[in-house]
Amino acid sequence: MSTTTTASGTLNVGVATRETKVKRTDTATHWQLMWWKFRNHKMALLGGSILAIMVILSLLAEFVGPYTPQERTSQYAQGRPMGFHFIDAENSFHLRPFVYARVAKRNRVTLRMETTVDKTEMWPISFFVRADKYKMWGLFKSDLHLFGLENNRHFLHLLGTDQLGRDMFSRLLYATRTSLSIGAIGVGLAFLLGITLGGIAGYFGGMVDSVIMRLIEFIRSIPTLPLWLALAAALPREWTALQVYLSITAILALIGWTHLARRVRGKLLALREEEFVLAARLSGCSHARIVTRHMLPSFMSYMIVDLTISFPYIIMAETALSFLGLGMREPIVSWGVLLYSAQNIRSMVLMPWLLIPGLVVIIAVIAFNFLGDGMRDAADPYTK
Amino acid sequence: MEPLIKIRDLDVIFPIGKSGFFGKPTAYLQAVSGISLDIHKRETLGLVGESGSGKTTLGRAILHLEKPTRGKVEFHLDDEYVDLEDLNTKGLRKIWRHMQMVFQDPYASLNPRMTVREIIAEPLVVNRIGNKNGILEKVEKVAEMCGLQRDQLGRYPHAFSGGQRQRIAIARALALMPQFIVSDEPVSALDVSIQAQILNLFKDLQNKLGLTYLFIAHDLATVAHVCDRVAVMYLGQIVELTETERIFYSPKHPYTEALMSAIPDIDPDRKMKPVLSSGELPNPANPPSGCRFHTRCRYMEPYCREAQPELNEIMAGHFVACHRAESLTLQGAVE
Repeated sequence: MSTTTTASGTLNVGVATRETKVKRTDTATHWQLMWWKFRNHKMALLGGSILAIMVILSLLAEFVGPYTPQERTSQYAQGRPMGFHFIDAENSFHLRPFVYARVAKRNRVTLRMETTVDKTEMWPISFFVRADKYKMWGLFKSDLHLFGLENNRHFLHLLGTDQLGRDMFSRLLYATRTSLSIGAIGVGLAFLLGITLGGIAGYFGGMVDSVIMRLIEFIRSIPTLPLWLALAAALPREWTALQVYLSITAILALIGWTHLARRVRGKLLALREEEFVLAARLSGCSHARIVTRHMLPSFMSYMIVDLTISFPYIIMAETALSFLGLGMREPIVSWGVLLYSAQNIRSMVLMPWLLIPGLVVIIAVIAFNFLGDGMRDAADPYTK
Repeated sequence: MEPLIKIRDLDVIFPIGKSGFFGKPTAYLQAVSGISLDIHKRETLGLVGESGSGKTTLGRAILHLEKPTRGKVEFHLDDEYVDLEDLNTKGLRKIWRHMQMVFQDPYASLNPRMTVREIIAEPLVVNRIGNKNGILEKVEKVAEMCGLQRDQLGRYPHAFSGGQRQRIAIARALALMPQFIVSDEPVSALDVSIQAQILNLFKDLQNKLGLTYLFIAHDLATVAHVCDRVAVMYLGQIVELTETERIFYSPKHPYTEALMSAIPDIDPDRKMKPVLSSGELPNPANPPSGCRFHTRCRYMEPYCREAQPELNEIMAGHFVACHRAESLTLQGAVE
């Protein structure tokens, strides 16, 4: 506790303590204190930055990715990641990065198409090129891409291509958008359900509380994976991609709200007896004001921490479902959908780059955990 | 003179322990049982007793922060008595303009997310008393009365020490200019060096504003310093009630005697003869039969187990609930 204005003070009762120096923390709001504390947590900052980059890149997927997710480069199917270079074979430096040309040839023995790197020819990478047409967020049309090749007979696949010759880098961007948005919407829905039902249980107590708690215990007692499988399998096959996407999100949220509801209830039950809440009642505050002005703010920070931590669970659940072929389906791409194509041993051996989405999942989950860790420390800024 | 507050046969019963699918209470705890009490205008009535004796619950029940299970609390307002039982939530909010409370823990009673100015202003804002400037002016006036400086009002509670936080809490309670304040152990969470300042602040404010206090405490020195009358509570009941001096000089209840004997003496040479009551405070959920104190009483007679003593007025203004009150000669804290 910062006790700048302590005891040395009032010898004459009723006479104020003289205090000239005002510390910055004295007039800082709760959120400021939290930010100052969060700032000191370097790993959390790192996690937060990684996630911010992921979010920005995936939001701009159409612009950042050189291809659309369904576009094929048939002459480079199952192609390896293409590294970009600044220094060529003759050791001369190029300011503009380039990739070496690829030449496709059919192998006479295996009869498979094979590509070889042709180090004599360079394909320079250009920025802000006009290439494939797309509709940004389904709203406005454009064909501007952050980077690409001017010559449309050449191709650029930084993370390789899949069996059908689709660009993994672009697909990964779209998948990140899908998976993160499922996390966000799922967590949002779970939050709404949790805070409403938990809030009702905690504020009113008694019979309502008992009924809601028994319901939560029932839901939690069902093994999650079989439940998801059953619910996901029950979705009609003829539904559109968007419908499937929304219902999968809802299914994940339906499971996720229970622990949030318990937390909200527990917090409210404890807060109801807090002295500052009693004081607010005595001051004549209405129920609405007590809840919104006094109770919610004092546990909102904890809720945000909870949300951050439950984010990766929802993302992993979606990934698991899609990986099993019961979640998202083409043409939607999510991390799980991408990993679904890396399921068999053949593609793992021949095309290890198909596992890159798995790496991204790991990075995202770890980043979320670091972020949540830092936020948990910052949630109570009054302890030193 | 008519008392400011009349309390009649007040019971507060809590359900405890839950069993079954929907949690029916298995037992009941009678935190306050059958208390009748008058609080006079402009007096400071002390309420002492061990932890768990029901002091805080009684204080909250008087304000109806805790709904009493049975009994009545009547508040004298504009020449008539208002029965708090008859009031709905709105009515209570209105009567709370005249009855306020200062809580025990100044670290828990101030919302950490509001500045001191907002905290003190809140009762005025929600009761719509005056316009914005009027409210700010009032806040500064009250804060100054409680020994806070104007330039401190923009700070958050975490910038203050315990004593100053308690000043803030007092200022909030005073903002509506109430007549009656329940102070629930307002100094027990503070350093001893700060306690006297806060107690004196309470006295000053009483003199200036003509306040009536119910002063809950477990520290007898505090009580001796500020109270006009003292009620001693044991297991939810009042066992003795009289003027402060009499409680200290000539207690009439064995439990009061035990409390007095526990006051430490400054003189190291003086032999202390604590009249210790043996044993712990019995479980309030299952109080002893008859006189509730009989399990720990030195002067216990067989009939004490059977019949519950009434709170009788044995002398003018001296109430005792003991079968043997008339016959015993007990020892006070000060000879």
